[in-house]
Amino acid sequence: MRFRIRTKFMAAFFIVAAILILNSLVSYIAMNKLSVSLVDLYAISKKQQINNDIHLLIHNGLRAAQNWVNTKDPDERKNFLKDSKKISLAFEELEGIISTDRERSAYRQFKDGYDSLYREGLNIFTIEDPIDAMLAMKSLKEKTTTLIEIGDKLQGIFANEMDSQIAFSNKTRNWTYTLLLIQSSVGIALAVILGIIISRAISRPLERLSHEAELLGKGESYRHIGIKTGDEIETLAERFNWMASRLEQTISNLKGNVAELEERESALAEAKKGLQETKDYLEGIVEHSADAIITSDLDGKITSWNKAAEMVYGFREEEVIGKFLPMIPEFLMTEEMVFIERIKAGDTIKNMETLRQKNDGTVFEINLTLSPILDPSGKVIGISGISRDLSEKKKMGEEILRKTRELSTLYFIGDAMRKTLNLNNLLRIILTSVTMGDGLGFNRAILFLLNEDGKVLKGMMGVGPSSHDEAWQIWNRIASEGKSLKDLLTGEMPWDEGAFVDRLAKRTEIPLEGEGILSLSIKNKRCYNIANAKTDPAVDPFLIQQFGTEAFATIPLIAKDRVIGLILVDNLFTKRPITEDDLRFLTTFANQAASAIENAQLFEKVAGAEAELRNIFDSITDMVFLVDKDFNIMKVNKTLMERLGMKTDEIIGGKCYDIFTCGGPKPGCPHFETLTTRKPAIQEIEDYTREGTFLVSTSPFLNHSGTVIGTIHILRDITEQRKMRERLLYSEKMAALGEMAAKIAHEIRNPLVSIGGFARRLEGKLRKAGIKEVGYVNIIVGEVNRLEGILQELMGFVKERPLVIQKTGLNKLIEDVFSLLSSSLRDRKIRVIKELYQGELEIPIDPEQLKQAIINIVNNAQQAIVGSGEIHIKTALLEDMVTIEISDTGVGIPKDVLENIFNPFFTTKSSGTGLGLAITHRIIEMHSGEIVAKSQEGVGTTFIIKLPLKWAEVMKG
Amino acid sequence: MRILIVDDDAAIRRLYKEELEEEGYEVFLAQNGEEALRIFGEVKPDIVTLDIRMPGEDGIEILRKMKEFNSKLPVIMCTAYDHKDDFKVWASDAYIVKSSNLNELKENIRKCLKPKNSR
Repeated sequence: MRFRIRTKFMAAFFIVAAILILNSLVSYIAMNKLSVSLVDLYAISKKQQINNDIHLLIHNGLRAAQNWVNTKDPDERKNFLKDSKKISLAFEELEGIISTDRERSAYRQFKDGYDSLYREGLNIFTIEDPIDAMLAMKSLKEKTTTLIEIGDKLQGIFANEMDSQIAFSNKTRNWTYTLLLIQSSVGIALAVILGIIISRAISRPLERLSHEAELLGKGESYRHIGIKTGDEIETLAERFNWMASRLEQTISNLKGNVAELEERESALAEAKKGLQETKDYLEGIVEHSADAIITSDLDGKITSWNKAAEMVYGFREEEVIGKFLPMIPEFLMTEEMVFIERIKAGDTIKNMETLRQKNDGTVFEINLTLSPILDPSGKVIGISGISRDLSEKKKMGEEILRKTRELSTLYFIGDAMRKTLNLNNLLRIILTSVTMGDGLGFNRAILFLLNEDGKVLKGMMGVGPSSHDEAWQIWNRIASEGKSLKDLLTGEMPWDEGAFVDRLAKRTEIPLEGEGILSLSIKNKRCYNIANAKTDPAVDPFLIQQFGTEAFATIPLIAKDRVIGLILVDNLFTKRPITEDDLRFLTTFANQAASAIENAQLFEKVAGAEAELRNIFDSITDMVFLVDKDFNIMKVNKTLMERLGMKTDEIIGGKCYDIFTCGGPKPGCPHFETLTTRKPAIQEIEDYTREGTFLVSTSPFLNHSGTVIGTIHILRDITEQRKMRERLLYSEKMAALGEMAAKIAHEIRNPLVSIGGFARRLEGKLRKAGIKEVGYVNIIVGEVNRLEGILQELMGFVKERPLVIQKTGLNKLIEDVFSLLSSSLRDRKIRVIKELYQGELEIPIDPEQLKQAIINIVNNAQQAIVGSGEIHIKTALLEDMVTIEISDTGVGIPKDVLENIFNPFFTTKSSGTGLGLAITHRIIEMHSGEIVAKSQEGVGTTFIIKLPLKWAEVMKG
Repeated sequence: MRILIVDDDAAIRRLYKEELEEEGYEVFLAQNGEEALRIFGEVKPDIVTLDIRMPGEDGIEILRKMKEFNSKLPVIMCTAYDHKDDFKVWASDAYIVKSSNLNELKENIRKCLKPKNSR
């Protein structure tokens, strides 16, 4: 039996071996195939995973952008950038492992789509305006949806690949199963054959094997078969075990992959759902917004129209899509066209109040914000408008808010008005307040005031734009610069004085006799609100013609029950009807404005009167000043300041005796005199420091109650008059002297000639006769000669020599004089110091006579110097005068002598005619020059000669 | 040569007469205008010296009359008073201020008579 078994075993072994070899071969191939397919499966699943990651990250990025739009949290931008970075890395990884051309092309599309969207996404973080950001977000989301679709397509390609791989794996697995079944069947067959042959020892393990194979075949979990028969069956069992475990592992791997795939798919579905929710949310916002949100293309054709728009305007969405802006009233079409152009240029118009019409034609007020819609490249492709119905029953809250605003505006304007007393500024403040958006908000305002006699209403000032264009420009500028009423009132106002409306206003004068609306407003002290100026009989056509107004209101300006003028307002450009509320607010405002104007007018009157007085005060060519009881200078006029060359603050508050050298407060001074007597006093005062003579008159200065509180000084500079007077006296004196001198000369000369003549004869005869007493006669002749010399000099003085003027170098002339006198100066040990003008001083003079003039002075100086000393001569050019200054270090001249030194025959010397300096004086005066002498006893004397530089001046003399 | 001296001062007339006669001139004297014109007519002097300030007709008037009569007659104005700039004395041939020193007068007389001699 054993042999048979062995034989059969051998046979069976060979058969089994053959089958097993074959089976192993087949299994090997199948396993190989299976493992290759598993590697592929893994790669595909990896691609899918990355693709999914990208989808998730895009979703995250989108959410970050949305969050940023909602919260403006800067962390969201960081998140967005972090996600973007991750996405880029994922794309790189994905690009590295995609295999087919189909995948690559889908990948490229996905990647490119993402890149452009990334930029757009990034741009969102720069949009400040929430509406713009929301719209950009919406666009981004729409585009993201498209991108996700592209990503899905790529995922589909991967999924297809996966499916085919899985199908292939399944096929391989089934095939392997089949093989194993065949193997099992063969095993069973063998077992039956061998069972018959080998009894239980063999049959049991075989049974076991067969059972497990069956289980395995059914796909149930496999248990290890422990057969220890020590023969081929055991080997077979082990082989079977190995095969089964490999198979089972492969299957479990496969199952794992499939599970992972399923998990990813569900995550993707989740992401898609989230995206959809966001989109729905945004659309919900637009759709359920309480504000009408309307978009149009650049031609004004409606592209979207939300529910609120349907409610507000009455048009249904399907009625208006593709139509041209149906809610714009015809009369605002021009304005709208301007707006469209501005939006096209990229501007945004915010919170503008304007009018719109409903489908039934009713016009109502809205608040409107217009902004451009941009494509990803930033090009304007449409307009979005968000409008809010303002007319519809303004809620109580808004009313209270408005009242509060009105009050604070009134308070603020009132404050600004109180701060100015300048009427013109005040009117500007008033009218700016009336016309500014955050003031009273009228388009235009014109202020009229009654003239003095109250019979004519005169336009004082007008503000407001002159055209739609200008209106838009100015309002937009104010809005864009973010200027509040406060800024405008305290800073530069937007309206130029002299602008169109202002000019209109200023040339309007309306007599109050008529029954025009303005007259009525003044007479009845009440407001008029004219809704249609053209049909209202009370409206003077002149007004309509002048101001082009169609609807307006007038508000009287009433200060202390007295009408002082009125304000006319209109809304020419926005066409907003003027409401009772407007009027009420305006009336409150007008009352404040009126009293401010009245104050300013009073102030101007007072200021005008004061300025007039000041003008008179300053226009007086005499010097006028006020001194109080304590000698303090209180007020001075312009003439005085100019004469003193001092500034007001240097004079005011100073003591009068410090400013004017009257020698201090003492009885006898005019001020003192007037204070004691309460009567005007007049004195002639010599002011040595200012070298002038003044006629001072003082009058008592009384306060309201008649008490003397100081004196009014009027100073008239009479220096010139006095000089003239002195000159006249001098020349009269000279004439008298001359006449007398001539007479004396004649009377004396004849006897002198006789005495001298006969003495000479006698002298000759005595000399011939040799009589020694001829010496006596010599003396007589000598003395007569001297007397005749004096007579000659006297006659020379009395008889003026006319000037022979020629251009002469002054410095050269002075050099000549001193060289002429050099020996005498040397003898007297006098040093001459010359300080001559650097340059030519060619002046028109009579050189001989001027020489004589200077010689006389130098002779005088020589005689004044005791012992040794110095003579200093200096020439200079002073504007159109030449000065010659001659100083000596002599004994000086006492004051009483100094006053007389130029008088003829005045001398302090024992010898001399006293004519030298008088001749000098006359020579200088003949040259139209001036000579003065200053002296200090013990120090020296200075003569200053001034000569004109021009011929014309000299010839006057 | 005949010289007519017209002067109201007797001492001066005498001085001039003595001094000029010593010079070799024939000297005639007049103390006023009337006398001067009479002697002028009688003696036909070659030269005349005239004082300006005199009682009655003054020197200027006498000068005019003498020049009317004989425009070529040399006349020397001889005065105590400086009339140099008076255009009326320009009609005279010389002008001197009287002095105790008669050299100037004599010099002028010589000068005035010289051209006549050369003629």
